[in-house]
Amino acid sequence: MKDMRHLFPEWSAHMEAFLRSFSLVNAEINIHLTVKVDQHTVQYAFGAKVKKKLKLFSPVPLKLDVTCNTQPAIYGKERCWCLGGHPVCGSRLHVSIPPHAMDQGLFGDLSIQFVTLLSPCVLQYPNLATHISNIQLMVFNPSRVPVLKVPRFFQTLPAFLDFEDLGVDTLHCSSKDVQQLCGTSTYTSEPPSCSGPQQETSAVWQRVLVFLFLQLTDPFTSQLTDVMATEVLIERHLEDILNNNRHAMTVALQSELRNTLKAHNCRKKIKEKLNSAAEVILSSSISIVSCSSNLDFRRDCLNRMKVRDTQELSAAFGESLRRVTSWKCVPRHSCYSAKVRGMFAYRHVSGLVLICCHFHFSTDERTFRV
Amino acid sequence: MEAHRLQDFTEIDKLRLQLLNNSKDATSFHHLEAEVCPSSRDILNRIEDIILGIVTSLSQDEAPVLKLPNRSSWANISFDSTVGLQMNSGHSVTALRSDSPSSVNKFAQVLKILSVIYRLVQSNTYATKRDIYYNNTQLFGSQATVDSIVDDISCMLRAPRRSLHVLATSKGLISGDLCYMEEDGMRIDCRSSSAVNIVSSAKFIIIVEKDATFQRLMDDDFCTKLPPCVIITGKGVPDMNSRLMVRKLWDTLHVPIFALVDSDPHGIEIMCIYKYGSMAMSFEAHSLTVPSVMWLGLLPSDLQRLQVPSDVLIPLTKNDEKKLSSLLQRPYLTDQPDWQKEMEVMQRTKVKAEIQSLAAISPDFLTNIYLPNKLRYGGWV
Repeated sequence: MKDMRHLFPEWSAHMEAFLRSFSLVNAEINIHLTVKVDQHTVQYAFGAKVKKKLKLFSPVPLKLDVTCNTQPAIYGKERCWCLGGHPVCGSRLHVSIPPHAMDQGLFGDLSIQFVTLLSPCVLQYPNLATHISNIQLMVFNPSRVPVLKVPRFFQTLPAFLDFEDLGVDTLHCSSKDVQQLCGTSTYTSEPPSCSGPQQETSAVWQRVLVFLFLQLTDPFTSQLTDVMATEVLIERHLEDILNNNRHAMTVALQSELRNTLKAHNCRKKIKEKLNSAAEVILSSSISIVSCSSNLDFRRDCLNRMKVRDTQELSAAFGESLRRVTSWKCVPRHSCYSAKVRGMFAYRHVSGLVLICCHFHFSTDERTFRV
Repeated sequence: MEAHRLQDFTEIDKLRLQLLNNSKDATSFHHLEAEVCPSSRDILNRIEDIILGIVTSLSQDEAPVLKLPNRSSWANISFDSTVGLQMNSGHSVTALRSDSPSSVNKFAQVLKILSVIYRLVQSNTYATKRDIYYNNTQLFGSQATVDSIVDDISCMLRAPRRSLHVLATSKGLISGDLCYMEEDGMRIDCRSSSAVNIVSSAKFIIIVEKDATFQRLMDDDFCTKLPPCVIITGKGVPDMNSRLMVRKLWDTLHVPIFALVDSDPHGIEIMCIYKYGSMAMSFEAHSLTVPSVMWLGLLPSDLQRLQVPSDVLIPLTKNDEKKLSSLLQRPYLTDQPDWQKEMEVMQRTKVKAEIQSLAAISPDFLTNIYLPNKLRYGGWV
């Protein structure tokens, strides 16, 4: 793929982010993008490999793209890996509309439906340690289109969240760490200092995606033009709406994140238990080998681990034990499993660079061209 | 006077002859003793096999697993009338996985104790279970954990606990016409487990359930009033050393052994432990059980016969009735129809009584009337 980014203006990144976010929550729609600049033509496609349907309050079910392209560093034999995610439908928060928004014509029952997703999925590896790399908040209007302008509310939100309570105290966020792009606020953190090489090979970085779906119920709005006008009003007053419901929003988000990160915190406890026991197992076993006068036994132990002496045996034993316990696999029917093998560099598959002046949407039912 | 006194207890002599005729050749017991007592080198080899198994698993990129015989399942136990309850050769096992949070702690605890035992056996030194616990209280959490794991290891290595060089703090008491020497020639008190050269002219042995009853007999000089005898108590549920001692006395003296327990399901169960063994220690039944133990008292039928006052009788609780029903289901009861009848009496009357209840008849009834008459006239089942 040619890197054409240098040819196109900055809004291309916003376009890409918009289409990506749109595609995430409208997984039934395949997006084909053709870009023509002078003599150069590039084609892109947005589509979901792994989809998950969720029933929300809305009559139209939500179809999320839960494809996960992240693979961890895997050592040794072929292993199962889940190529999708398992979104969780959270709470629905009713928010009040500020008076001046009502003066402008915004009426009805406004609420925010939270959906969270922890990615990549490591449910099949209950002993694997995880770190949280970032938390992304994505806001969508009632038509499930990403909100273009992200409210400043989300910039200041980290100051009101209790990250220690969430068990992600390594996530140190200030407003400058918050990236905002087309409806998405991302709170990133510095990676924790590694205490040893085994930390890198047996821990997986996860991100938390929090989808905030705005929903409006107004029995007097039924015409398409009215719906579109209402959505414009919501976006225009979103900052005020959020500020008007600051406390409730903060509490709701804290609760959603806490529920999502419960699994992550359980893993920490499991990891501590396994590590603590591993130290005892290692020291007891090596102690027996070291003080044994049975040469055959000692030689067999060294040969099996392919080492030369008890010092190397201790290192190899410890490393092996940590690896086999970390990578214990418990297959799950609900996971989108595929076999992966060998040593891979830890990578994220970054989004495609999109520069567009031409849109082409297609679904099973209809095709859109912009 | 002495001759007259001994003549009164001819029933005991008859019982002894009967027991000697029924029991196997004494040499077979010693042979069995050697079989179940592996050497130090055997113990070390067996521990090394376990470690090699762990290393092999890791070399194959698999999580190590320890397999412990399941000592708490009736499915693993069979009954032999000459031995008692014993563990089947094809018993089920519990798998301790090193990659499971629920079992990794126990895995580590077992390995730790194995490494302690390895060093003890190698250096020919000894430690008590209490020492092992106190050396690492954080890992083990409680004394009970250490006790249970030591027994698990004993079963896993197919070796009695004494071969692992792990001792228990003694619990039982013994008194009577008995003296013995340790292997090093020292005459020691009755709490040693390595007794040899037992010398005794005792005609019978009485196992007493409770310490209180034991002390009562001591206070009343019971052992001097009757023919030579030995009394022993495990102070309730007996520990291994007490059971080993009873077994040792049987192997050496081959005299009748009687049980004096409360007339309640708990007392009967304690008596069954001496006679047939326990589920938890069934893998060591050969060295711990004495199937020839007879039930001397306090029998449920004695309560009616002696017209023990009703105000000292206690109604059976729901747990008592449950335990009684469970005892009646035990495989060894089919071998003991007289015991079954006594337990059915208890089930019918729905009452229990402690040995101390005999004091309601008269203060010295137990020592001066009840026991002498029982022993004189063969009042055991």
